[in-house]
Amino acid sequence: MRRWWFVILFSVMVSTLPAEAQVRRIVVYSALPDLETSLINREFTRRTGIAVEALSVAAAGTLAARIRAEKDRPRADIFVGGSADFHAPLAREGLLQPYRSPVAREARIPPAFVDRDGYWHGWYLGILSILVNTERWDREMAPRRVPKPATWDDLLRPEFRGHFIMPSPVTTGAGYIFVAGQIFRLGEDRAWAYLRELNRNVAQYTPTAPGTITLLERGEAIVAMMWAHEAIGARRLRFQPLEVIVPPDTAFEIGAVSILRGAPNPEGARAYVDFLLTRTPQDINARYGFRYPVRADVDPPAGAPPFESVKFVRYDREWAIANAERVRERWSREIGR
Amino acid sequence: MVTARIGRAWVSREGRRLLADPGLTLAFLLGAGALALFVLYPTVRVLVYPGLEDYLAIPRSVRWMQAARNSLLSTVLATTTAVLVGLAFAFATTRPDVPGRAFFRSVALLPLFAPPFMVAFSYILLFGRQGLVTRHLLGLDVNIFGPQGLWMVQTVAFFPLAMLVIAGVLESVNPSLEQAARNLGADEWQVVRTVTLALARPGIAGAALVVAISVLADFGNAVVIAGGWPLLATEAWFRMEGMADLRGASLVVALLMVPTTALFVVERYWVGRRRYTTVTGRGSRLERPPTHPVLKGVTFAVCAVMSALVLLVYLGVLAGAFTAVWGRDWSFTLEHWHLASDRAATLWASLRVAAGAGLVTAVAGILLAFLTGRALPLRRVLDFLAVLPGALPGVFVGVGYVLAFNRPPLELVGTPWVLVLALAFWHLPLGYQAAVAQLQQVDRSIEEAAANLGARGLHVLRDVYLPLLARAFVEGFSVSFVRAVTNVSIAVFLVSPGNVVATFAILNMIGNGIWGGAAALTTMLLLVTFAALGLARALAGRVVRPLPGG
Amino acid sequence: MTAHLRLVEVTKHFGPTVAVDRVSLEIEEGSFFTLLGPSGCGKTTLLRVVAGFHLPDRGEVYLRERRITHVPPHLRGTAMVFQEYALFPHMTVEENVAYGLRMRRVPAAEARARVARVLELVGLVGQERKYPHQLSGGQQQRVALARALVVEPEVLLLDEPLSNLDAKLRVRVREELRELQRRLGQTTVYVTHDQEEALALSDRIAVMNTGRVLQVGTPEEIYLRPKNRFVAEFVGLANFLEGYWVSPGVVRTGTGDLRVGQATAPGGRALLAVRPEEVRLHRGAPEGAVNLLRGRVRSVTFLGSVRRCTVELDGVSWVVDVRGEESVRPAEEVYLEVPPDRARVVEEG
Repeated sequence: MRRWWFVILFSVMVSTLPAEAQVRRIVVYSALPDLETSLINREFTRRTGIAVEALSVAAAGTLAARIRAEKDRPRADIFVGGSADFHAPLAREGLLQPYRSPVAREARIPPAFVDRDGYWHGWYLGILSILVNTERWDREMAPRRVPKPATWDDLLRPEFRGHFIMPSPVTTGAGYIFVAGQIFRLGEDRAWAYLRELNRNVAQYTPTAPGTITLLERGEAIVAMMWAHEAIGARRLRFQPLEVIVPPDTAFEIGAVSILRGAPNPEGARAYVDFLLTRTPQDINARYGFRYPVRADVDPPAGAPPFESVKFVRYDREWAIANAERVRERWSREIGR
Repeated sequence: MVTARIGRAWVSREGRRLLADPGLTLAFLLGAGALALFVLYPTVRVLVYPGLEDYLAIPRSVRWMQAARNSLLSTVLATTTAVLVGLAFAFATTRPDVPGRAFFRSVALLPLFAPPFMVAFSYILLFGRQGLVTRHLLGLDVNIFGPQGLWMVQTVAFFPLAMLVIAGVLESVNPSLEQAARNLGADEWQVVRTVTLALARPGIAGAALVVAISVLADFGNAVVIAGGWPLLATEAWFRMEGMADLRGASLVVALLMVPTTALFVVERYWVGRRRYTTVTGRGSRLERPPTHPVLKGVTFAVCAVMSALVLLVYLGVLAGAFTAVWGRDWSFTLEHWHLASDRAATLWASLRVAAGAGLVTAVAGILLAFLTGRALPLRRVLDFLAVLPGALPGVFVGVGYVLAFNRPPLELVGTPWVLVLALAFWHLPLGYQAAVAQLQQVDRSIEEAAANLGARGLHVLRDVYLPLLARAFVEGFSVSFVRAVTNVSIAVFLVSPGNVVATFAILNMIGNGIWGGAAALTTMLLLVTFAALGLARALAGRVVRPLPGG
Repeated sequence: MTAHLRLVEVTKHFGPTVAVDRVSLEIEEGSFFTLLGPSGCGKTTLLRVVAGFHLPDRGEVYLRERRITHVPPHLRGTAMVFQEYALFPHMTVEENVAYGLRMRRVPAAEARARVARVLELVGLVGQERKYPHQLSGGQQQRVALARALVVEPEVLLLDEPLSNLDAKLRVRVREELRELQRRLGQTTVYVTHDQEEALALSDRIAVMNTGRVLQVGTPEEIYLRPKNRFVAEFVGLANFLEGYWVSPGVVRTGTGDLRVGQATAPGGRALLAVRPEEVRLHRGAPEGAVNLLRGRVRSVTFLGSVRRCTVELDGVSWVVDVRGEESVRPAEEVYLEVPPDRARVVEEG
């Protein structure tokens, strides 16, 4: 009988072993992949002595939802990664605290990349581009003398029927930004016509953004639309046969970082934001994540076209955020897969 | 009206008996309170979170209607094939003259130990466009994503459930009945048709319902292999992930809960009641009659093929863990294992959470089984709440706990406890029913003898039942532990920094295309699971064995 | 008369155990044949061999001179009533009974008629639509019987069908069973461990022990002329006395010389068996009585019609039944008279 009590007690103890309780630490919700997150955080700890506990989920939406759910007692200090499109609504709901980092001024980061009211700071950029699986292309498209797509309209080619994939505008940020970008490029009516026609070529709207890359790698499609940095990373780190084509009138995302209102360690959080705007983390992000830095003095990711050379569409972020639900609903109705 | 009923219950004879025994009262309050707080409250929170107009808007949402249709279709398809395969296995393992019975039975249980996404993951590696089997061995160009892949994966993942239920029913068919039929002129095939299967019919129906609930609520496999095909179970997750839409997520899980609850109710209160009890007679038991050779052959073939598919699941993952770049660079490497061991902390987190969940399930199950076994007020309500989690999809529970415990006074979100409790109470029906089955075997007169000698309610629990319930404890703990370690659907909603469980990390890696690392970590998770389970059983065996009738 | 059912040297092993050991039997058509023996003696196994559920390791089974040893159960022409009835719980009484007919593809109308007839025969009219669990034990037993009879089998096999009924019911059903069997002229093989049942029902009995048949005969033969100790003891009560032959017809025992009815081989050991009711008890030594043994009464039990006395003879304890109204008291000295024709010689074993 006595043995039982020990077993029970032991189990209780084991299961409640708390994570180390440290006084100087911050909690970070990161939408960046594990690798970049842990490298950056380790550097932060090395520099400031503040420990970082991170929850890394490759989906900014989940993290934003968590932040909403925890709003009465926030557990995290920092929300990092994912487009500003996820941070801005949180700011509007009063879940973030403003901060103006001195580093931003110092590094002369363009004001377009920082929130006007100081709720979020952009610290990396991503460009939407056309991706091609070169192996399949060389095997199936090249013999038919199909030219590689260079513009968004090229994606409408009938030869791509069933061979094109992109992230779902309903469930991913990337997909939505693409749709919004088309609206800005063509105006609403023509944009919907474009999307309907493009839909005929789509084999799948992947439910997660990285899903597009993995499917393209596997050769489940020949052409895709996604962030350039993901494809470049796949090519360099995993030797996947992907080619990146940056078309004109493309959209870009601003990867942001923000401080949660009611954060347990606001001072540490502010230090984190300052840190992200310095060179090292942006360098790490460029080297391992192939994302563009916002600082001019950091080398751009290898194998990517220089940021300034890209012709961007006039992207009205405010409008895009404000109309997100309506646009998504309409997309579901008219194209909805 | 409800309060009047509750009031009346307390004043009734049972109520007075309860109040006279303070220990019992305490246990009752504990049990009822736990159920109210950890089962009823989160359920209600999910259902009331969206507004009425949100509910009414559901039919207008194209995507959700699609998701509902797709879920229905995949459920019908996968349930049918899973039950048929399960029937074949059940048949093979209960006829003494089908070769390889023991092998088939062991293999069939393997999918129960795998995390839900493992079958999907492995099959992508083996049967996808770059699949080892489809592309490199057979030279085919196969698209495995979408409904067809999901169907195959769900069949393999869930047929063991069907097998267990149907085998139980087939076993209980008295061989004398089959022999009597033969004696009266039925040949081997007619015996099976008119007696064996006819008696097993309610069991088969029950199996179908149980499998249907699992398929409908399947999150892990769907999220990996359904591709862009919308399904209710995955929509909630995507709502949160892509759009940070908690309200939408609640709507979807509420929508999902309707069919799963309906299936559950039908199974428990209608089909379950119609089981035939065949009296086991005295005298030496006859053997089962021989099986028709064609039937034997068909059953064997089906089982052999499906066993191969099951084994391939494990082999696929194992191969993926050692291959440098799947589909591209087939060289052997140990690099993925380094990556996986970097994430070893997640394995510990999984074990901790699972141990906690197993413990709570076992204890709560026993306590509630004890309470509902006596004439106490609100007994039926307690019983219902204790089995209700069986009707709820995992994603529903996940969202429910997020909503229920994200603010004071009970703020558990962000701590490891919320995950432990969510899993523990989601598995409660298993522990509860195991305990009930054990308790039913205890003769009432033993308890009365104890009471006669002066033991009060709670002492009866301790001295009479507790030793006999060691077995129920082990069973409840084991099943809850295994399911907790492999859980995905609740973990994705409830992990917190410092408590990231392995399944979550694996899913992330799959999502990011880090297949090798995911395969390695999955293999480690399986090894750790088997080891921990074996240890627990060995420990328990030392306690349970000396008890009679164990 | 050629036998309806014939078993020749049937042997069945289960692993190292020999369940049935070289059994040969002949059963006549229309007779009620009982296999009687204690549990584990192999009678049920033997019955199952006849039914076709077990394949004998050696030996053959013949039905009307046709060899059926290897014929599967459903083609044999035997119908069995199981000890636990084995009624199909998912079928009504009518469907249960009609099952065998259905398997033989009897047209529905004819089947219905035959079912109705046989239900009337066993006294279950009006219960057709009920399910087995709604019936009493006795009714279930009748359904099992009806189900076996309706297919008009060559041989009806009954495996301790009355053992699940209570005592009074058992007697009543027993009588009805016998009546039915006679009326139909149905060849029946019956298995039981209850010797009273066997004596009451059978035309012939085979007493079995440890897989062997020890004696086959009519109930009178078995009871009045048991061949060996086991049979004598198993069927009814028996008192034994050991001795050796001194001359033809005379056996010397520890308590004196006894004249015995049989004039068998002199020399060697002899075992005598006497039934309790065959011994006459006298208070004083009667005149001119042969085979008188002296003893002392140890205990007396009043059983209603009979008073059962335990009498101590020289080193042996005998059971003697006297009429109920006679008064015998313990510690009385008495003389037991054994009529010579009642002192039978039996074999050992």
